Amino acid sequence: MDYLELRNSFLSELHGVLNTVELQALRSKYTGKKGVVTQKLKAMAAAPKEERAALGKAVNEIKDFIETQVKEKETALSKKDTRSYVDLTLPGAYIKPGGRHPVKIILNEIIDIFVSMGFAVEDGPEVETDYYNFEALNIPQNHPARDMQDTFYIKPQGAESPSHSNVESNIVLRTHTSPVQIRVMEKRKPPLMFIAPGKVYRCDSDISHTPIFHQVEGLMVDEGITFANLKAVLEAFLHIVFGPDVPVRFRPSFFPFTEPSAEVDLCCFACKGSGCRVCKNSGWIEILGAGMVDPRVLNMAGIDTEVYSGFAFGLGIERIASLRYGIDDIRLFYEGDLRFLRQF
Amino acid sequence: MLLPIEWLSDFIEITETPDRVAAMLTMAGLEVEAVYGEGHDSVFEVNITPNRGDCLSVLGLARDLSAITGRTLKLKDSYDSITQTSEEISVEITDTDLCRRYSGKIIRGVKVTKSPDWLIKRLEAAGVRAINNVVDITNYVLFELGQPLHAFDLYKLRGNAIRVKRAGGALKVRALDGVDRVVSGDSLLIWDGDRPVAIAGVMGCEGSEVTNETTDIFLESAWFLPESVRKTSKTLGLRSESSFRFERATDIGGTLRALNKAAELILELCGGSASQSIDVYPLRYEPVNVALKSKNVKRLLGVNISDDTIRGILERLGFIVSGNNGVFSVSVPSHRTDIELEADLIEEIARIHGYNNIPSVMPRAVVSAKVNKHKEILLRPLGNLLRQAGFTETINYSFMPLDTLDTFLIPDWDERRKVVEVLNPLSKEQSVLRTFLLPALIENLKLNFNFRQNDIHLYEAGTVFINDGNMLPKESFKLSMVSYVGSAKKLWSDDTPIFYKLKGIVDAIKESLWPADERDTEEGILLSYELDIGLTLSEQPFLSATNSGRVVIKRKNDAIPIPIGYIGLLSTEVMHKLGLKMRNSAVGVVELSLDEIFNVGQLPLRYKPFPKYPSIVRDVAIVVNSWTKQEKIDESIEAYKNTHNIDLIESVEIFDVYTGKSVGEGKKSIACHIVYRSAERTLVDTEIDDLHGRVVRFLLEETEGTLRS
Ligand SMILES: [Zn+2]
Repeated sequence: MDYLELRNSFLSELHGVLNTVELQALRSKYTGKKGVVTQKLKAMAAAPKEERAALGKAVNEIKDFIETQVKEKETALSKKDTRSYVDLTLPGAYIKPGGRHPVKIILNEIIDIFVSMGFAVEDGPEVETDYYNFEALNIPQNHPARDMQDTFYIKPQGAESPSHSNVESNIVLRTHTSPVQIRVMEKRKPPLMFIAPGKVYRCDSDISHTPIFHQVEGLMVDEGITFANLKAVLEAFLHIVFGPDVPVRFRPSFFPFTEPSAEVDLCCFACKGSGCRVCKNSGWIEILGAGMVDPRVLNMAGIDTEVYSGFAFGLGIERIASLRYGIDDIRLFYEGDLRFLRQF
Repeated sequence: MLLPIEWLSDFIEITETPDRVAAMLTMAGLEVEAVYGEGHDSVFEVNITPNRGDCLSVLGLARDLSAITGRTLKLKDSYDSITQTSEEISVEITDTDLCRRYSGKIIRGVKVTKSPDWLIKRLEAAGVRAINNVVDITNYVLFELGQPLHAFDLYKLRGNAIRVKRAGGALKVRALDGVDRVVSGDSLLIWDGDRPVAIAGVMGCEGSEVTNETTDIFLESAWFLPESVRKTSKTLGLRSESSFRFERATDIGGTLRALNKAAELILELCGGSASQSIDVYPLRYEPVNVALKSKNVKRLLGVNISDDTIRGILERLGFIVSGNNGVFSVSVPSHRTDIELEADLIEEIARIHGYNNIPSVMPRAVVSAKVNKHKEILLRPLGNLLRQAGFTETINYSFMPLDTLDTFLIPDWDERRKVVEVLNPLSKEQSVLRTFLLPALIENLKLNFNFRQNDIHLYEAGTVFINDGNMLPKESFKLSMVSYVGSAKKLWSDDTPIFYKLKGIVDAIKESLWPADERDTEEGILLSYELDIGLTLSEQPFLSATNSGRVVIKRKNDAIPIPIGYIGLLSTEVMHKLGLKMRNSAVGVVELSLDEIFNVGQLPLRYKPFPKYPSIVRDVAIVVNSWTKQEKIDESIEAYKNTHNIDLIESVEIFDVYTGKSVGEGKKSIACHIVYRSAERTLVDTEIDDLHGRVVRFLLEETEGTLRS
């Protein structure tokens, strides 16, 4: 090995030294008993006599150089910190933050999007009268539309008789957040634009249904509100939630409280529309229901349909959360299992 | 409903592929949920919304397809002569409010046998099992035209009579499925001369049905009131293809068409000869005329659709349109009684025109500023705080089992006993609405404990329901927390007792909501804790008597503090009852009223200059009786400041509480920093040494304590 090379390799190793332990190891690697420089010194005996003096001088020079450098480094290191070294691979002591419920993440995201568009946020009771939950929404008794929602009935309060059947009770757990529409329209006059998020109840339980889930209802009533407006507002919303390029389609449907009514579908993100298990081979995923508020509903709430028109929509939070996070069993939302909730 | 596409082509020419036809129907509101088979043999599963009873037939779907494609609907009716009375059978509608039309026909000399293959094939494709040619033909016509028919064995009808009237009183009948049922007095029945022979629109009764021996039949084709059929069918729990259609309104103008189609097929396939049609139709259908202005089409849809297009769409759907220049009168055909208002017509126009052909236009909103006080928004800062403190958010069902109240030892007089009952719960565990959040959180805790989670910190914000005697129950928004730390050793230990950890979180909630010192604000909010021990029980019967307290809020104007919740450890008794098997570990719980907390709202904040001069800190450790509260030190210092008119004491801060042998039995040592400061000058050590000595002596006197040596 060339002496210059030896010197350089020593210097570069010295540069990487962080503590005295490493420094001593480096020192013995070069000038220790079995060190590189010591070996050189020993090898000198085999060299021709006339070269020995020059060699010896060079080896001693490098040995002095190394010793000086080690001393300097030692001084430099000693000026640092006397505390013992931390183990950077040990975990830190901190309070592990708790998980946020995925339904609440989506719920709040949706609130923020609509608030950014200027919608207010309204609330209403979870136990409702038949009037607000059905009648005022153009769902009369004995109408097949009642079959669209399996309803929990509440025993009328104060009634002693245990013989109340479902048919007689006019108190229900709200089956949708739509009653809030009516309650707000009765109190305030247009222009109205608000959403109503909250819990709703259906008498149903399996892998894709829980007796409780969350909806966000939306309403916009003013002069000159059109179906074209409904399309624009919901497209803007869906493009924020699911990405700006996802195709959205509006398809005629039926809700008793809207006319015309629309089912809004999203192009299936799993198959990009070619059909798969997620979208039941249709290429589309139903994401929300909407429509122009039925004039019967506006009239019942005391709003002049000659002057005003409006749109309403309703969407299920669990559905959006399931799609967003790839959750295939909706019951997971309500088991309180930390192995699930900790992931959010 | 199942729709074989080749059947559809009886009524309309189809040039498109089945997939294309499916897409056209779907985009017109007749959602094809699945396509089975291929090509000519394709069968669609069509989801018909409850308002479109008219589309529960091949004819109905063909009619909509005609409107979509613009192709002609092939519908040719052959009608024979009609009579209102017949010598062979007398037909009478007694309850004309429930049955507005009753048509019938006698066919004699039929041979009941197996249907031909083509008919069986179509029925099976539509999902109907073949029985015999007469019954199959009635089913065939039901699917093709949407009109349910019923065939009676003429000989089994007593007294040559058909009467349509209510049951009159509760009545036991045996339907064709062989089950005895009691119909209510209001249910509409078909009677012969002396007994019920059918539950109108729902199912025939045993004893009058067509069998293989039947030769003469009476065919019924009627219109029953949808609400009445629905009520009867629902009460009896008896549904049929017929009741499903009657509930959704059949075409009152189509009874004879169906009757004749069926007769035609019966004569062809079963032989025999048919009588005239009997048609009892006391109150004829009067078409409703709905006014339609094309400017309203634009006002509601936001797109211009020409008068010609509007007229074309409506006419192909069977409406009769008169008028011009954008002002129309539209006569509603008997198969579309769902159309009552202009908006209903506009929907027809929109769905056939295509929602895709309506542009997206952002509304011009009226801008207004508002403060959103929705509970989910108000909850956000608290949720963030709790999650930073390690608590995970849960959402539980709003139900609880009734016996929960016993498990948690809730006394009879407690508000939480005023439960709201669910009349049709899914299970006994969900029979009432929850009156407090804690039980569900404890269940969550148990589940996670069983999955060997070591640290379990959960919270839920949700509604509880109290039956207060009003029409709707009282709904309150609450926050509840549970906290459990397992005994496993940890890398970085923290020995703070769970009670004080939880109390720290409640303190932090207060601090984050109302950051200013309560004494300096106008409203003067004071959130504090009262330990309510009593003799044996704490205020909450499920909490440990020694490790619990209630949380109260007192604003400046409140005469007494308002309780807003509780904090504590579950009692060992209740833990045992709940089956919580955490050895040597405590479960801490909190419940707070978010309504009360949100009700306080934000308090006005004002900046207060902070001191310019340095402070001097002196420590003191005193040994007091173990029941002495920390609060006593604060009170004594406050008292000293007031009685001696001293304003140099800035604050007192506890830094150690110790019990153990060295301080003696029944005693504890409290150590604190006392901070001295002047607002006007720098204090001198000697001056403070003197003052501190006097303060300590006062403190010892007040607390009956001694200096810790
Ligand atoms: Zn797909």
